[in-house]
Amino acid sequence: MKSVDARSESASLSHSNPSHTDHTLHQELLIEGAGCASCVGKIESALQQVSGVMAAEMNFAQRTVSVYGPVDSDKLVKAVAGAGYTATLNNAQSDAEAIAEKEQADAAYYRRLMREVAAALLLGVPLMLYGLVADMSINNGVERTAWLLLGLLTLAVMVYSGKHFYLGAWQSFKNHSANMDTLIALGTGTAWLYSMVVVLLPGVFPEMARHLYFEATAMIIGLVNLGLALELKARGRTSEAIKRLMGLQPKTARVVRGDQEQDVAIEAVLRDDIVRVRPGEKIPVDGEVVAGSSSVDESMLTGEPMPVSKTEGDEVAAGTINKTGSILFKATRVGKDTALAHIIDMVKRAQNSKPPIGRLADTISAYFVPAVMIIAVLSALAWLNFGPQPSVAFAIVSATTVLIIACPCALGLATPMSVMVGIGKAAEAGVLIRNGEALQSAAKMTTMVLDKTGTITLGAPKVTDILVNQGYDKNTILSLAAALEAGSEHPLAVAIIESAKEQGLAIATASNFNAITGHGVEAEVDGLQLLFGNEALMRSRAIDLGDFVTKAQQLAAEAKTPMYFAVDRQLAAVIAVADPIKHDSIAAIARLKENGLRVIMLTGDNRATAKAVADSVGIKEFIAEVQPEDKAARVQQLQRQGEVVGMTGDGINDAPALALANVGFAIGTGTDVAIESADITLMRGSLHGLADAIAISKATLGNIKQNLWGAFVYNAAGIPFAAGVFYPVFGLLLNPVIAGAAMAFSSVTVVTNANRLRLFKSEKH
Amino acid sequence: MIWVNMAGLGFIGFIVWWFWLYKPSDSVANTPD
Repeated sequence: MKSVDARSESASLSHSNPSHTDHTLHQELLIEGAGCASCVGKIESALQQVSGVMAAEMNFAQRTVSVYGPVDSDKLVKAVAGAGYTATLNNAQSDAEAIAEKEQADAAYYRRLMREVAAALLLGVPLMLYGLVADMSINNGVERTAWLLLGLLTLAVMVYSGKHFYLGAWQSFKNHSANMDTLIALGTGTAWLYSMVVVLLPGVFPEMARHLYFEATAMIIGLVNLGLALELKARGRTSEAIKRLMGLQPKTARVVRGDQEQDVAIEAVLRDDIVRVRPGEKIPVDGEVVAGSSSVDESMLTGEPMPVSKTEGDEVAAGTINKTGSILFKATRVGKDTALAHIIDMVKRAQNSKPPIGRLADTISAYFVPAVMIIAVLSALAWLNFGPQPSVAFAIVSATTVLIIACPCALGLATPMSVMVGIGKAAEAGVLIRNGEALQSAAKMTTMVLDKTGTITLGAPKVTDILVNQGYDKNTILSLAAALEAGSEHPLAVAIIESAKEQGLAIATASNFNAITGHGVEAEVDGLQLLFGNEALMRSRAIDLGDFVTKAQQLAAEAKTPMYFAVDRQLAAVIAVADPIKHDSIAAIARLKENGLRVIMLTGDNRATAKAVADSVGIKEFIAEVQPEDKAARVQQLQRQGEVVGMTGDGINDAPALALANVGFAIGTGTDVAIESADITLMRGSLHGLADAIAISKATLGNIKQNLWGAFVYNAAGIPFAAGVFYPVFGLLLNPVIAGAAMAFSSVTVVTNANRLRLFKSEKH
Repeated sequence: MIWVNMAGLGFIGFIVWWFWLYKPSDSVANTPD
């Protein structure tokens, strides 16, 4: 946990002030030649040993490492080279540039891999076809010379197309670890070495055992490289979500400097610049409207489909689309500080992170590879001791095939691929998942605790009912009440003034204003004596309330706050104010319950209001009159009962509970604090985001399990077959070439299965 | 044949030691001051 904090701290440092010194705090390296998940640990630990490095975090799916700390980049590149890989510093100034550079590097790597594939298959395929029609053995001197040349040609292919396997295997061997490279190097190396001994010293083996396996070496190298190339292609697609987010930001902005308006590159926009955005254009940076008004489509950021109206003083965010009017706004956050940039950064970091289930895969592969090597030796010994003639050939074939089929590269890919796609998918639905752990916990949640104010309800009181007495109309009452309350900042007063403004009513000026603490207010407006407050205030002034008392009680039972309004000592109306329930809370809570979750509402409000709200949204369990610090205690209590608790709140007074819960969901507007404090942030205020987050998490976790299961079972099941267990009964022995093809296919299967997640669609609502 | 078996088992022993039993601190711990 600590290291994550250190990372986010340093990351935010580099965001807040992109000066030269800060740039050295966070550097990104592009890595080449990391074939298997076990490389991640090696590269990270090599970098962490460089003095000054605070943290190094590799994104295996992207083949990039983020290094945090004031370190010279040359030292980092050298450290990676020392671990047996190639690193280049990502010099990109912007995310878009970084992606473009990465894509260029990937494209170059892809072309190189394909050249290597071509070279290996050009030799391997004809040899294999020859093996189908003729005997791959040495019967005379001419054949011997020909095979010697082919053996040397195979060696050339091994060097040209397969040197990364041998170098990788040697590097990991020196580090006392073993990985996919080890298995491929041992497998192909054994096949080639055996064949060369047959060519050079045929007398060592009995005649039946003088079979050659050069084609196996070339084919395996070719096919495994082909698998790597296909995987690289598929991997490019997993970063689509990030690319889509980055595509939201326009490339230029129209800045007003002096009397002139000029289009400047987005990087050249400074804080406090005045920026003009015309209808239909994207807003280039975050800012505050200083002139004009418009409606802005924020759906790409929040998922909220309705455009939001913006006028002077309102904030606008980069990446959103200005719909109707032309506005001028002052840039408040530019470059890497915009909300959009933070979201992109957070999604990137989350895609890097590993859920606990992924660490299981790492542990398995650490034991798996040496175990496979042992099985290969045992299998060879078994064939040598008990196998039919030519036992040496059988022993070599079975050992090679075991090494090749058991290669756990699909196992290493299983988790990161799905996490990348799942978190990207969630971001598209307006759900920001902080890390892989949150993703896994969200899928396993049993109880969801919901805060009331601002979560289930809008969090801003509104006038819900105006019950007028004979001789009055609603607009007059609202206008007078607004005039009376104009000076007050009480939430109820604000609700009334807002409501009058929404209706377009004129608000007169009040005089002789008097606040009666705890009861209400009185004042004079247009010569009328106005009194506004609770029942006690009215009774103290001997105002006849008639049957309005019953009506007011009914309103109170509906979780509304009724207030009496008297004009010239006569009751004129009852105005009820309430915090309305969000229009889709009921449907969203129903979805949570359909998911089998126990839903509990927590609120600091009184019991009556809490009950009314809980009843109307269909929540059976609620806890009222809870202090913020007690909310955390309640969460803990549920956890002690064995529940996996999700807590949803608006991120400020619910902070302790959010932190304690297994998964904290913040209702955010897609900006600042809320995003930083929660495990999962719902960019849109709607609770549907919760059900979406759970659905995506479950789909992702399911996908990871399929991948792990598929990859592991595939590897494990192939071993006995490759070792020749089925030979004595069925006469079946796997060909090493088939094993190589199947292995390449298994990686492609895993990547394809992870990409299947991209088709995931959250429920329409 | 016995030698081949011995070599094979020896190789297995080496794998177990090199990849599982060996700890980087071993060499340091065994070095006399």
